[in-house]
Amino acid sequence: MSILETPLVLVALCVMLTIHIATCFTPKLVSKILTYVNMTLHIALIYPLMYFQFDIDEAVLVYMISVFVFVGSRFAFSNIVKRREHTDDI
Amino acid sequence: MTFNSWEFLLFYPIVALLYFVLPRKLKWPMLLVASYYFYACYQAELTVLIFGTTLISWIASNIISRTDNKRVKKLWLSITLIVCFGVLFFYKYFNFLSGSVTGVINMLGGEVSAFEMKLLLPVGISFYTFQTLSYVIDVYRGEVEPERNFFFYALFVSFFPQLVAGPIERPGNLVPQLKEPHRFTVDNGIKGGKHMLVGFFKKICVADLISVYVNAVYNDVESASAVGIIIATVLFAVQIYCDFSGYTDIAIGCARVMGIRLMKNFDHPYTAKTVKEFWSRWHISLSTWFKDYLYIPLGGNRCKKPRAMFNIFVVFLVSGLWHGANWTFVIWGVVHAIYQIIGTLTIPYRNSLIRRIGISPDSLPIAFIRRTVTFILVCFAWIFFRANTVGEAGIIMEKLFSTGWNVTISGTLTHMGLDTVAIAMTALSIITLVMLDRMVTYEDERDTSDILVRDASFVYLIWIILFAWALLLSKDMMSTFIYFQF
Repeated sequence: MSILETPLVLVALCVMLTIHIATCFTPKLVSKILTYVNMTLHIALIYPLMYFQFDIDEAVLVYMISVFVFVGSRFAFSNIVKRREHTDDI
Repeated sequence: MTFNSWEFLLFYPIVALLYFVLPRKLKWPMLLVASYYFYACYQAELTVLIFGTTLISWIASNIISRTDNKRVKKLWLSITLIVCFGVLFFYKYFNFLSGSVTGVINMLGGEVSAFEMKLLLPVGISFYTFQTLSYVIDVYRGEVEPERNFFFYALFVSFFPQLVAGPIERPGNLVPQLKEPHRFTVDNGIKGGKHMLVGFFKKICVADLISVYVNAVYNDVESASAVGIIIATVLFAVQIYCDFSGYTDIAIGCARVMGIRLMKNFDHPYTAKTVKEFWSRWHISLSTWFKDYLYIPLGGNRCKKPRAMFNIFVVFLVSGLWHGANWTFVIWGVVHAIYQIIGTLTIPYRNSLIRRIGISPDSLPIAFIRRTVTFILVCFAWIFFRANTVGEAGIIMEKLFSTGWNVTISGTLTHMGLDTVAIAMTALSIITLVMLDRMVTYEDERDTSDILVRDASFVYLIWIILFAWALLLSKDMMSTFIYFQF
């Protein structure tokens, strides 16, 4: 079974990517909460990936897409993120 | 124990914690013990070599500093050079020289078989030998005061983050920092952690991923096509950068957490506009070592042009040899020497041409062309660096310039193992790398670096990297760093 044909994984990925981008624009407290939610989603996604025994390359690709969007969103919206952040990280 | 191993994940936090917890007098002895333990995990039996090199150089530096007799100074400097280079040549080049001499004899009609010894190449020998020599030479020149405490000097030589693959530190930078007791600061912790994370990302998520496709071509050049060779060579350029700079990032990060700042070793080398500039951005610690201890003593460029060109040739020839005991590395060094010589000789003509065209040399189109040309030249040289033998390099040249073009691109990609998922992963990882590299700076000067330092999601990145790491665990987690072989 391919990851691309699995609605659960695709929906989870879309949610994670949306949160990546949303944290660039939301207020700080909301951003932190969303960050922890997203971290939990990333951890939780491991289990269905292992349970359904997806091809490991495709599983890695999911996380790579997440990293790419994470870094890319910050790269693209660096000025917005910089203006919003004033204190140290969590 | 490599950086990308579970043992190191256990070792480093313990060492860092002990460093901050122990009283001042015990910090550096603990680091010394930890550094020797780190090295012993690679090759316990060869710790005697690094100890011996350290002892000889320490004795020599102290004698040199205590005498005013120039002859005695030169004698002890010579002893150090002979001993250190002798050990290096024996372990690294004996079999190479033996095979080469035998080859020449057989070519001339003789029938001899090469005398080879089963020698274990000491990990990091090229790095700590050069670091030791820079110390003794600096003492000889009067630029540095010798360290009277042998064990403290031994720590300078064996400091574990940079022991096996650099950066090749100078005593003026590292020794004072090792003596100073550093307290933990959040700033150092975050910035050090940032460097380590980026280093692990480069190594695990980029270099190791790409190596599979590079090896598919370079380990079977007979079956490779010209297009495959070109793709594999470009990927190798990315692989070696990520592998080596990733190691350096981890080393810098490890040291930074403890408050110690190692020197910058890479500065976006593939953005260089000339090959000369490339070498001011690639493996900076080695190129500055060669400049300070070989190029300038030979006369540098403060002599007549033929002599200056000869000096450049010697430096790159030695640099090629430093990288490995194989004629492919020598050819790689010579190719770069030729680039530098031609570049230096043609500067007036190139600048004149650009002026005649009427475009500013700093304009975007010219800068783009120069960067592209430089990248192509560097990649061409990487062919010799990566080829397993001179014969294979010859086959590659033949395929590139005549016989290797009768294939389809899709067939080439299939041969390399690049299916849709693999291409997506490779592209994503490289683009992410480019963005990450621009966002993370060594000097922490640019504002955009604040994004990863201050952003709450920085911790998030840790989790993402760890997951990618865990998932890639089955793909040869313990792969070694390329520069360990030097």
